[in-house]
Amino acid sequence: MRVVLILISLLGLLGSAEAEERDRNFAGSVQLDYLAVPTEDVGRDRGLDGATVELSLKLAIDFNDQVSSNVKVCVACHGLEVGMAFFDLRSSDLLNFRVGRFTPQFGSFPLRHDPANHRTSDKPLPYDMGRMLRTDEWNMSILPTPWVDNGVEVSGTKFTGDSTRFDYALYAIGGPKASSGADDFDFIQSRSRDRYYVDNNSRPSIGAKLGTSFDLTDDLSMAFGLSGMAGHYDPDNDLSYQILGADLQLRFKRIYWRSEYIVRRTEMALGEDPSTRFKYGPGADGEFDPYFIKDGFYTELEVPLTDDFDVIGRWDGMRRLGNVVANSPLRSESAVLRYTAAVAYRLSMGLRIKSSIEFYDFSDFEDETALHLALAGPF
Amino acid sequence: MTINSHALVIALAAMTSACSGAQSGGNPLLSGMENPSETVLEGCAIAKQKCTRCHTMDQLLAAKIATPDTWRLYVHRMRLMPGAGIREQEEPKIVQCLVYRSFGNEGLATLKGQAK
Repeated sequence: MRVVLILISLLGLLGSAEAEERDRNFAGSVQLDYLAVPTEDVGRDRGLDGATVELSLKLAIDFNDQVSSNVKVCVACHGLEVGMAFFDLRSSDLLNFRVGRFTPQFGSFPLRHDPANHRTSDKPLPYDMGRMLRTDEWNMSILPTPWVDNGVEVSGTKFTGDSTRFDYALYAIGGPKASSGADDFDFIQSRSRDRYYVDNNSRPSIGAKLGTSFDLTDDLSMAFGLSGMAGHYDPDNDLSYQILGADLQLRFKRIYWRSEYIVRRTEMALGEDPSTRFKYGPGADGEFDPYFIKDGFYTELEVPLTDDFDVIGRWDGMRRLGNVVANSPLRSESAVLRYTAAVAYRLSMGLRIKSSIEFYDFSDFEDETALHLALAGPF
Repeated sequence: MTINSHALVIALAAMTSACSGAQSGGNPLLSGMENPSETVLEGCAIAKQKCTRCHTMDQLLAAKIATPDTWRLYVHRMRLMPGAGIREQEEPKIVQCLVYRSFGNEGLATLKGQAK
């Protein structure tokens, strides 16, 4: 019922947009993806296989050169989500205030997270949101994308010379959540309406991104960025985290090479008896290390062979270093590497068929193969 | 380790059909345009190359824009996206391409705030 009401509201706004000739744009996208795990009889034991639909409906309104607003609702595995609900107040290219619910600037991939925007069915491992195999054992990725949160972001762009630009963003958001005494983020709690869409510890997480891009020639350009986010994620404001990232993108004509690295340092609650809570004992100094490191990378090459046909190769991976709770199937040093070959073919008017094969190389589990077949497109 | 041959066959069939169906073509933004100006042609070539950094060309083709000025505001907002890579002088050319595609010469004539 709530979905229907929101859709009616959006369509109502669209209708009035046409009537008033306002600068409004309504757009959306749909992806239906089927994930098969041919190396298992029952793929569900390894991940969220089968068919998933990702739908997004977005209304962008440019009130004038200085003020714009975006509202985006998404329906996917989690049900209905509000992915965007913010105002942009731009005093100049160098100073923009974003207020509301949005994905804060971090790395490069989140800009392309919409399935109609990227050529593969799923996301790189460091940004995966539940489609990787062994997602439960790994407690998902490092920063599941899109990471949507409430807050404020100040950003801007400084153009220098003909093609060089510098981008910055500073933001304060509610941040990830978990219960008291946690050993990692609780991604379900972080987006659950049961805990309300509010900060759980009265302390915002803060973050920043710095980036630059420039043309080396008309056909060759480069973009580079550094990102960071930090705060506390438990209600008691005791458990800290820090995330750092670096992204690099090279474009030659319409061929893209993209790479990113992300690392998260997360504090775990040791509890009253860490010797029973954790799998491994204290260090040489007799103390339990309360931190673990989770880092990951991806590097991918996207080659459009024609206007309609793209070939993508991707290598990505994740690693976890540090103590684990006693019942975790992971070890003090666990890793996963994945090799992906993908194609995307444009059928007609934006409808695109995507297919990929992925080989998972786990350090702690049997290796697996996954297959994706998807239909995606904007409207 | 068992292999589900059905899934593998389906995926390989999809990849093969996609490969065999691939055809080269011109700029999809120019489809349906009659006698576009040099500026429009240049703008569409830039859009094809730069806009695909963050999203597919399909987003542009599917866009339903209410007024020519909406394209102007929209492209300006996109140029300010981090790492967009669109030069200042390229912005009005991309706008001209998209406005001409959506509204023809009448749309270009009504563009506010930039030279035709």
